[in-house]
Amino acid sequence: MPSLLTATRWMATVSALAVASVATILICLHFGAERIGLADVATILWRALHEGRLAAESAGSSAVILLEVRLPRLVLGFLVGGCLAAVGVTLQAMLRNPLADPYVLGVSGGAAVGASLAIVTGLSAAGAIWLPLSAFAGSLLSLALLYRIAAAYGHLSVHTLLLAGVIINALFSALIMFLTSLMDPTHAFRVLSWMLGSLAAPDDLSLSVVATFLTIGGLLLARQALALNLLTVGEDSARSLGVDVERVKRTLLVTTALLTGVVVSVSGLIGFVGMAVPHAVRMLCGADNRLLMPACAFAGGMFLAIADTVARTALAPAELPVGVMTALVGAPFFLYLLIARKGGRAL
Amino acid sequence: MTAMTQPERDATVAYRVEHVAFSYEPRRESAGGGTEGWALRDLTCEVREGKILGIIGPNGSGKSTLLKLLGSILLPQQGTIRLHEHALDSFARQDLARIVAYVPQQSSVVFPFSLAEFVLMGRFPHRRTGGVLGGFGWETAEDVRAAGQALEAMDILHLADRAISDVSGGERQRAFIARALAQAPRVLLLDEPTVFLDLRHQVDICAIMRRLNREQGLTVVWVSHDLNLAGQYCDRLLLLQDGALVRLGAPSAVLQPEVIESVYRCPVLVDRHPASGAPRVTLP
Repeated sequence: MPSLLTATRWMATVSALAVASVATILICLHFGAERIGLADVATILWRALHEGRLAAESAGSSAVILLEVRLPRLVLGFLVGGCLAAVGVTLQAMLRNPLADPYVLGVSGGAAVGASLAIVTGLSAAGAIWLPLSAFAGSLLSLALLYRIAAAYGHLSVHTLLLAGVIINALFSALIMFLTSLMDPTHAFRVLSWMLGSLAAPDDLSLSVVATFLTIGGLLLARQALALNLLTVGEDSARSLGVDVERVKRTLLVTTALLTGVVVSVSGLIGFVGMAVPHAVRMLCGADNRLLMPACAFAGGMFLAIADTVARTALAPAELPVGVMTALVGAPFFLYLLIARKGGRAL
Repeated sequence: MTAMTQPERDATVAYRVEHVAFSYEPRRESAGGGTEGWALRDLTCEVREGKILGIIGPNGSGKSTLLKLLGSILLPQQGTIRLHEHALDSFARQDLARIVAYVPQQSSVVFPFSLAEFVLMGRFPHRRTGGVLGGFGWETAEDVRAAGQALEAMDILHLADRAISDVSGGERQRAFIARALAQAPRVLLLDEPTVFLDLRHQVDICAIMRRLNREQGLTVVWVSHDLNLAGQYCDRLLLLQDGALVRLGAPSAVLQPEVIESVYRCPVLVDRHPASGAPRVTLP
């Protein structure tokens, strides 16, 4: 039989995407206010790998800029983008809705409320773990709410789900506004700019926290890839094929909430990556989640790395929040899909 | 009316359903204590091994609910269901899925799986899982062979590469049945499998069902709105009304004009099919 997903095709696609991701990061490193040639980028990275970061940075200011500012930011962007796309794919499959996206559905908003609450109450100052943890609680809450609405309707139509997302988002924005008005102005400004989505200046600690969570979350999602395939067809159907639907759903809900919470706590609200990237990748790789999920993670990473590079260079020396960039690209795409769907095209 | 049961103890039994009652909202509806208004009420029947059983009845009479109970997709609040003499809830899900395949009523598929990929999903219960990347088990040659056979049996092998979100309703329906066949089940549960199909494919599905039944001894339980098709292809019919069993028996015993008239509240004529002699129900 033709064109089935085999281990060979999987390996080939995933390795190609991994190579493309490294290339994308290298090229993005070259752009910025201070021009650093591609050859210099390679030399500096090579030295940092071999002689350690400090030795490499002693070479000059461009090395410091590259290793202390651009590289961490790009790596964070890559991780956040990959994570958002993987969460998007999972939500789309679970809700059987190709327009699902953690931002549009208010899952990110829930995480933002959790994070703001931690800032207002001073909890976030008590330890690095509290901000992502309360963001996780927020996203879990909104996902649970969303899933309850979906369950009450049986199968939720695309439009009802989007409507539910709009309402949940409206509620959460109001809550965030309320919380920021309780903060002192400097705090409030910081929270508001974070809400627009920003990848600026991550420290090593938050980078490694994000990387750890993403690895665990990614593996948990990947383990369910086959079951998720069956779930996209319907819960009854999946159950009759031997899937423990309740357990799989629980695992996926908690994992997606965790990933969203962690991402939002380090990068704020970055929208549409989780919707646009899976859609594009699905056209190229097909719908099988075993390939779709890792492919989306790489593609989402590349997409956000590029979007952030554009955001920090397009109006240099001024910087756009990366969330503004993704919304400028993603929202029209979203509208296009909504209209194309009306024309009867299957998404 | 009394339930008509013919005690033929010699035939082996696939399912034994005893005093089963089910409600989608048991707490609200059983406030009065009884099972009045439940989707199924005190249902006792058996499904014989290697036979085709048709479930018929008006809209909302509990046909699909009964099928889902047999598939262990819903669990009864009262009574027991036994499959091959073991309580249905004692089976592990994956073990049950190797015995029983369920074809849902008119489902749509949102994502562009190819028909081949879709039918291969039926091999899930036969897959070895476990390990860190347990979700990634690749298809074995046996899986691919079974899926290919199922596609061929349903006459959609030439569509194997097409996306299931793009094919016609009838082709999609056949893909669902092919997926169930790929499961290599002993029992096939079908919820209105012919509803989207044109005449030729209706007949095809019925013929395939009967062939699998004759050749492999597959037990088939088939929910149908089409009394004539059911009467022609089923060994026995089970007639439901408001969640209760009205009659269970050979088509000629169940498709009696006075029974159909009282259950469907509509006058009917019943004569014989000119070729097969099966009862034929028409509107006057």
